[in-house]
Amino acid sequence: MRALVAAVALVALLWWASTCALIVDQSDYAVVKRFGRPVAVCLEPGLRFKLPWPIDDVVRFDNRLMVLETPAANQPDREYLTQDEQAGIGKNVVVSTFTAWRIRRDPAAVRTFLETMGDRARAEARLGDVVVSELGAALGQNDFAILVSVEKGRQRCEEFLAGVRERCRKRVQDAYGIEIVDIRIIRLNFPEQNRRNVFDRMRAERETIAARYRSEGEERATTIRAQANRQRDEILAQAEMEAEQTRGRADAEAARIYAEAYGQDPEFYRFLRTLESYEKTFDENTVAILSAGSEFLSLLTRAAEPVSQPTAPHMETNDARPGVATQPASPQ
Amino acid sequence: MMHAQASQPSLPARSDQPRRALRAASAAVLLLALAAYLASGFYFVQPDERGVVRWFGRVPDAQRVPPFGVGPGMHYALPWPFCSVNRPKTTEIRRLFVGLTPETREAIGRGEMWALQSSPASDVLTGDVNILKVTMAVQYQVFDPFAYLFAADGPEQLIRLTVQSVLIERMAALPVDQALTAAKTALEIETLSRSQKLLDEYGSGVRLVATNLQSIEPPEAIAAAFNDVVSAKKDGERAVDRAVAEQNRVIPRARGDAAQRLAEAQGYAQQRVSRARGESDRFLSLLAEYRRSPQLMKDRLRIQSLEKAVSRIRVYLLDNRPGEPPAKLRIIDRADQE
Repeated sequence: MRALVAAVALVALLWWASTCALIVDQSDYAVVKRFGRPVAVCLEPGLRFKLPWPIDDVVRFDNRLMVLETPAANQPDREYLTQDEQAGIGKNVVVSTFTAWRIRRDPAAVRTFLETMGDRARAEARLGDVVVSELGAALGQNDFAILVSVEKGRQRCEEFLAGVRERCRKRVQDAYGIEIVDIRIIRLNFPEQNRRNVFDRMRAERETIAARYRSEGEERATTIRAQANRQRDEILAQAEMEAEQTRGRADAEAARIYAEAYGQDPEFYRFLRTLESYEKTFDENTVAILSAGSEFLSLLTRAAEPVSQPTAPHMETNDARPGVATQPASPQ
Repeated sequence: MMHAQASQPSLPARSDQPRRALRAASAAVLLLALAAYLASGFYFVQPDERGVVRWFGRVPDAQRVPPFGVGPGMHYALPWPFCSVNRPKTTEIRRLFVGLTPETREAIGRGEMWALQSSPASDVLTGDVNILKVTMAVQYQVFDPFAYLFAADGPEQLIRLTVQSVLIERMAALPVDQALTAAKTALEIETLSRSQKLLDEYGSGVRLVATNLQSIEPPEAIAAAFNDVVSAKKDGERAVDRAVAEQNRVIPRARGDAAQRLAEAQGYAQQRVSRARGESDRFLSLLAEYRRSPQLMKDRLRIQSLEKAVSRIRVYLLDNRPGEPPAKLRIIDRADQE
């Protein structure tokens, strides 16, 4: 029985002695409080010693970078009003930010944090308020284009946020022992009502662009067709010209050849041509009605005999063709 | 010790022998417990991990510099409460999504990847104040396990929000048409490099491997209008294509016609000249004959012609005597008779 009591006492003593040891974790700051009053701040991790419980107590804070979404993901959106350079009152915008923050690595800051905030939840609530008020103030003094613009140099998001960050930093670093590492925008939108207007405008823009694409296509198509037709006309005209030139040259050449040949005896040529034209003129439909005494008949009857007189069948003379009619081929 | 105490009352001290045996047994149990406790200090680091050990809460300096922590294999550290070990995976490529609603993120966290398909992504504004739905898949790797563990509380959230903020910022300077088409790759690259720079500033110990746009599309309400632009573009191109096809038909045909006309002209020319040559040659041959005996030639030619003519024509003779007036004849066209 005595041994049992001794054992329990030993365990209790060991536990009590262990409260003298303080292990500061790599991810923590530790503040030693003596009867509730902070007496030491441990920034470095490792093994420390303190007075045993219940004299000294320890509070630990995370020393790592912490991320705060403002508003938190499950909170309603927060609207801000921007300024318009022309109209004065600008657009309503919904902005969410994240703040990367940590407790400053400084014994006084850790102590301040302990005294003013006490824990992370309260610190984040306070920090959120600061960010919202500074962001609201900054947006109220700037045109919406500082956040959203396609013009080069008009959108100065980085600069704008750096300003907000600087003002927030001033407000929290000494007052709460908090270091703001970064504030950045993670959501940018319009309130529901304005979104609908944006959608309408977007639709109108798309319709304009679609119409433009179609008419541009038509325009180019028409141009191409016109060019093709012009080219075709050019090609044909050129060909026509060359063809006519070729024909003309050939006609000229033929005329030259004829002239050269017939020029040697025009009289004989005329004679031959006359005979040829007779041959052509008298065909199967020709009916000749001759008087018995006609010279032309005598020419026919004497056809086999040599003709000595050049008088006879010169048919240019009137009396030599006393009734020659050339009938056209039977009428259709 | 408790064990030894508890068994004492049921076994009254009769001799030294059982008491000594009991002591030996309890000592053995104690030793075994101590050994098991000490043995719990062994830990294994897998090939894809690095081990980070805290001695009394502190990571030794040697583990804070590359190659960070301890490598794969079996190692020993004192058991709790003296040491603790973390073994983050450093070769693994981790993935997270930007632009999803918190519910979708949770579903994906539970391994329900289908949630990604139906997810209504959050709105992103473009520089020309259009609203797009954008989601981005971020792949990253832990390169500094020490920093990964001790630089930030919730590194995943930090990465996600950082990438999201950079994406928002970059999109807010892009016209919607570029954001939907040409600027996508540039957007991915810029987001990656800018986010990496920020994460380095935060000392997060992660390296972004890729930031891929998972989807970038107009909101459903106006998707049809956007699609119509695409089809309008195609319509325009089709009109141009048709015109080009017509051009390709018209011009070769014109060339063909031109070639044909030229060929016809050349044929005509050939024929014309050849005929002229032939006729003039014939004439010259006849002329040569004619010059030899002109009268004979003339007569012969005349008779020849007459023969040809008479063989074809019909001849009617009116036998009126000389001195009488010639018979009066009226020519009636066959057309008039009918």
